[in-house]
Amino acid sequence: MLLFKYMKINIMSNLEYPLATYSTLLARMVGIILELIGLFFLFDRFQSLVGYSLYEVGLCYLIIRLANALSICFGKGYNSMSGLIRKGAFDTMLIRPRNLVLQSFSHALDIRDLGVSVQYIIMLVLFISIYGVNFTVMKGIVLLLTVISGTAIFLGILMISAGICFFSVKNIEAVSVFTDGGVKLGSYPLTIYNKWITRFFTFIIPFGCANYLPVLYIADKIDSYRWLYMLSPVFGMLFIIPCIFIWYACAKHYSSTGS
Amino acid sequence: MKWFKGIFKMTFISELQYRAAAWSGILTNIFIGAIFIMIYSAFYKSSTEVPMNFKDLASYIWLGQGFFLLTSLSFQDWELIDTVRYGSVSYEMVRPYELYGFWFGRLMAQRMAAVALRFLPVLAVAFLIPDPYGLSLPATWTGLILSIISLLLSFILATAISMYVYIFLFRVLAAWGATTILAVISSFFSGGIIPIPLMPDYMYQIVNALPFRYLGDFPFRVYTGGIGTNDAVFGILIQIIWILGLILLGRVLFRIASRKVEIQGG
Repeated sequence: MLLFKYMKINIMSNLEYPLATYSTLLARMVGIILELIGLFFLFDRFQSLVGYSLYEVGLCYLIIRLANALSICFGKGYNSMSGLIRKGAFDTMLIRPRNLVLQSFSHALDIRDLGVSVQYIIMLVLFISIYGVNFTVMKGIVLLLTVISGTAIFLGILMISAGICFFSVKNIEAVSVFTDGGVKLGSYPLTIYNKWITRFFTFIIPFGCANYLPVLYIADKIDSYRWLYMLSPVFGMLFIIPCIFIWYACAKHYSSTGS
Repeated sequence: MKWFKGIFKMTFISELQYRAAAWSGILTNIFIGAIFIMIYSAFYKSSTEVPMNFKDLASYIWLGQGFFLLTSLSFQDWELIDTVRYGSVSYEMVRPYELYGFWFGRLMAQRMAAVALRFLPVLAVAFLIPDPYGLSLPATWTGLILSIISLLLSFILATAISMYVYIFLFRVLAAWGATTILAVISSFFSGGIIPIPLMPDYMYQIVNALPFRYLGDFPFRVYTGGIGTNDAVFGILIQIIWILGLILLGRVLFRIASRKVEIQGG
């Protein structure tokens, strides 16, 4: 597949600088572990978070961070859309007889970002194997869907901000409120916040579908309508569809910056 | 002092040029502060035995967001890092002044300018948020004065610590990894990830043995009154000792490292 070929080339170019790559990965690992230790410390102090245990919060925490890491990994082209437009690299993409969305996805995949995602996957597996109780195959599938759903939501946000770039050329920095803020917010079950925040991030930007809804199922906290909670990640994924259309609509208005 | 003022002014003006970035930074800090407050208020509902009351915690978090760039060691001068990387550091080295002192001043002026531009809007918003979620007035006037002294010293301390990145840079050109490791460690031990009073008791000893808590945790708690006047004065003395120690060691290491520097390309 073309997508994987793109990725392989990018990864090989990263490996030309092994020291920079490894030191960055090490640095990210230290960061990930220290932040996780912070979470453990909080539960050491408070025992529970309004009824949620360490297991449930830890799941939310790791899922959203993994999803964000994956979206950074695969959405690099959208993240750097402003640069692509300014340097005229987007023109080159337009000439190629390949799908624009695909080209943007695979643009400049960085092994360091991929490494961060792998680190989070390891953390998530370790966390579940230590704290998880009667973890079934079905729960594994729901977990996988949840991660994909979270990634799709973050990618959707990146695509919309990239779409705005076609008009503004400059990156819209305020979007980081939704991406970085989404990570911070979604690291905990959304129901602990004000109900308007919970509603906004469940029905408008569906972070809830990659957060407390499936986690409640995975942690066996649901008695009725279980299938609805199991399917919630799928609803979350739908978010990316309007985002793709919006991005296409914006890309139609693209005029080259000519450099 | 004249060149220090010059650099301060220059950075301040160039930061003003990137107003949009500064505003979005301010917005993000306010947003993240609000999220932290909501998370901790939920945690506080789940337990009554807490080492710090919620009002003080809220002030602590808002101060942490307002002075985010003061405590953050990922705030570095990438232009300076590039001079080592691309070899133009050789011009710097032939200049007739001590490089350590000049870079120190440059980094500190930048840090002060960036913070000066950002902290007021964040703290102003935090003041407007009602009790106990917002930033409260300081416990005592002496507490306020001591915390301001300590915050000013924090600028020197943060710069002294970040100079070690540049020392490391002379040996290894990939600076990003070293900077990030230092930044996350300092963020953890200065109460940036979770407030230090909420850490388990056994962590206090480790935290106290390191300089990082004097960047943020200490001045913030002097402000809220969590640290009394006597302890605050004593703490400021320790802060000064850390500053002197780190600068002296840093200067020696900087000289040794810069003597062996390899000039890259041209």
